[in-house]
Amino acid sequence: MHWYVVRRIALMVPTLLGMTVVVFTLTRVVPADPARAAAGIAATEATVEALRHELRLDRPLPVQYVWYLRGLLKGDLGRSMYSGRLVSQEIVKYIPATTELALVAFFMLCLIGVPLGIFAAARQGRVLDVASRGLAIGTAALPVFWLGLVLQFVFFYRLRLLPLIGRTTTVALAPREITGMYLVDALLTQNWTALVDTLRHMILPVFTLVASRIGIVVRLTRVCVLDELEQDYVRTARAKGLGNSRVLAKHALRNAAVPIITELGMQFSWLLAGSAVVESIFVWPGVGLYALRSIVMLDFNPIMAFTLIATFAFLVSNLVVDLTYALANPRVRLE
Amino acid sequence: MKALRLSSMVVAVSLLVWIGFAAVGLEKNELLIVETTYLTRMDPQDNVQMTGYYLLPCYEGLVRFKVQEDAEIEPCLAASWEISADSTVYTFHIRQNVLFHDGTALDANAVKVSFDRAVSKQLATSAYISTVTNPEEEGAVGEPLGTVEVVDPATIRITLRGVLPTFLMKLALFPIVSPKPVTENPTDLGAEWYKNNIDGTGPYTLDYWKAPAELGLKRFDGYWGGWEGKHLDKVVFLTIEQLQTGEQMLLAGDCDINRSTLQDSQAALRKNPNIVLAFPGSPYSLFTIAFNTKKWPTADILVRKAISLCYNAAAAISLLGGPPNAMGFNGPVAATNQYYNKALPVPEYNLDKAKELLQQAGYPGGKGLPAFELPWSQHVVAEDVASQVLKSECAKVGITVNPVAMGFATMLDMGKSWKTCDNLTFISSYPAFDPVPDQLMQFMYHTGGVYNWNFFSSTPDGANIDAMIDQATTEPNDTIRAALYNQLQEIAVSNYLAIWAIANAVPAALRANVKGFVTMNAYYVHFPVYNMWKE
Repeated sequence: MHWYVVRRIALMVPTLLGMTVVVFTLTRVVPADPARAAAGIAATEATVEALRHELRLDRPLPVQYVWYLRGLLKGDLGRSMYSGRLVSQEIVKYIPATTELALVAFFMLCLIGVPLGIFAAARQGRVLDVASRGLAIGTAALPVFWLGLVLQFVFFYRLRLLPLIGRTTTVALAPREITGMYLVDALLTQNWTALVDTLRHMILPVFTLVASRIGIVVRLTRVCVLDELEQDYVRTARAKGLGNSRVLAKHALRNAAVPIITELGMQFSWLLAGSAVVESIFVWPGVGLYALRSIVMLDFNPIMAFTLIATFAFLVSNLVVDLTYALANPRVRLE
Repeated sequence: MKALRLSSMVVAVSLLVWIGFAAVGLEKNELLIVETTYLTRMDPQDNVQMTGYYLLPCYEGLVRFKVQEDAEIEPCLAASWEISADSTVYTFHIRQNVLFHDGTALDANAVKVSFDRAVSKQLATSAYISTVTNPEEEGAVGEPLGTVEVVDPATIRITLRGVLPTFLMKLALFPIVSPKPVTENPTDLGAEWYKNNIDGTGPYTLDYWKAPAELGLKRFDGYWGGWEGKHLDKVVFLTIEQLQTGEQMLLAGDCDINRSTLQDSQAALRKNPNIVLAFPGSPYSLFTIAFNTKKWPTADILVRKAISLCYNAAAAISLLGGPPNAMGFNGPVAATNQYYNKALPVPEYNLDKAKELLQQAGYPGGKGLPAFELPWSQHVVAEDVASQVLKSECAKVGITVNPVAMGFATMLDMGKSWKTCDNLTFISSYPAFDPVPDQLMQFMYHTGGVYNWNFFSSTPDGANIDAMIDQATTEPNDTIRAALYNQLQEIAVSNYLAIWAIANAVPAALRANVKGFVTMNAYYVHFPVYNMWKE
């Protein structure tokens, strides 16, 4: 198995390289003058030219790419045209916030979505099943940004129950930074006020993220489990006198696990890389917000960096999913 | 049973989370301003974007604008100055006992370091101290205005290469930074350091920066202006892109100022006793639909005039909420500008006349004219509305106009050449709020200006326009300057170089307990936080 892992990791490199070529080309063929956009309309032509030269935008495209690749190999993701700071320094600050949000949302997705799908399958045709299918269709149809805004309006503006935006109420309430993930840092520093404050701030964005993805998880889990419940071995197990719970947990679920794990892996990748809209609505200072801002401003280097990170996240989660197959289903051999 | 236990636990935890939290609101001496634009650069000398105003509480210039409506200069880091008889030599006497945030004392040398830094690195604010001349003149663009000389530690002398009547106003926008990070980092003149830090002489300094959205400033106890009277201890700029979120925060009391209000909410906000609306003194920009006067068919003045007559300004103004949110304007310069030509006629809306002109031009009923694309800056509501109004009115005379939303950077790129520029394009005439129009004229209409569409040079007076703008910029006689600017505006209007579409001003909303705010015409947006307090 370890050769499988080594091979998969080695295959990530050409995939990432391919992504850099595609995104690099696309960002640079957009008809716009990023140097002028970065310098602002009040800047003189001399300032714009100086910036253009500094950013190597006056060189041919292949030369620009080679420079970029050279920097990348040294861990240099370039500079933001707008802030002037190193992208690697900036993006490192944003990753913990996104990771924390994604992990909590993923945990809730697994905690709620998978059991709901299983119960729906086990109670096929009954109220819970119908309700869960309705929930799945309803949440899948809701636009994420709309849901987020409505939740803010109801729970903050009308009911004053939950905070509107951000990770903490004030900077002073943030825990001492160790990992950058406030829940973890609050636990490590035993800062219970920060823990509660952070939890409260996570409720709405996590709920928005989970609600937007739960439909798929519930429906897929339900379908996969239903498929297995109709198999002969399940009938045999029941005939032997095994209870419903045991049949579900020990037999049907394990066989249904592979597609569910696949889907959960994809959902985690999406949560990591696709939470930009939610981060924007809730002013969650994560990579998504950073990327969104960079896209609007045509800031190439952060866009490239975000794409690389998102691609890497997808590749890694796919690898983890594949490795998990073998754990879930011993018949699977990784070659 | 298990399900019941589980759901009870969930409810209990939820309640704990909510109840257990001790609500923390705004401190009395802390001002929270919600903005919609991110602060991109912390280096004040490299930031002329609108968000540069976030740094205004931290940095000062030799002179500054008085905190009042009209733009008037007063001493700041220079306690006094003399101007030579020929208006080319300015001798500034540096204020004593002024400290930078790092404890360095202000002196003439520190001022010179700031000037040299901005010019040598071609930083954005070098525009304020650079000669704006014809770029074809070799070496002229980006050259500083003469020399900056340290006479003694308390005196600095600036010798201009020519007369510049607006020099003091430009200096008011030029920040003096601490020389310490500059001299300690000679290779980049402190560029890297200033990207993450603040070090000026202003009343506030950096408390924290949670990039990209939150900038916290705290008072600088060593500020030369002192802290007697009512002042704020902290100022926080929080960027939230969604306007409705900022509004919710304002109404809930979770922020003190919401910089941009939704047009639909303004009527309700006006009625709210806890909220005060503050309109900027001048519009940020005048939204103008410019004609490509070199490209067929808008090279024909009759076609330009016909399209201009189709624009129903009253309808656009009404759709945008009416004055003071939206107003018409009559030419390239805002009515609040001291050099505004009051004799300019109000743009006419007359579809019958438009039809006649099309007939005269050889395009009866619009036949033979191409469909015009009208690029407008995405997210700019005023341009969206105005372009739709033009489209619907032009359709009545047989002219097809197709508005197209575009990124600003793309529009700038297209405008580099008249060949790539569309027949009609939205331009924001920036900076409309400047007290004098020389920078606006340079940007918009001078050969080599940012927009570079060369409209003026396509008119019969084209050959003289650059010279007129240059002369107006440097003319010491105010009567002659006024006459030149009047003439330039008149030329723009009589040649139908553009449709003067909308002057749009978005008000800020303040909680009623925020006091001391004054609209300053010198800036589109500025909250003079040192003079403000909360009750």
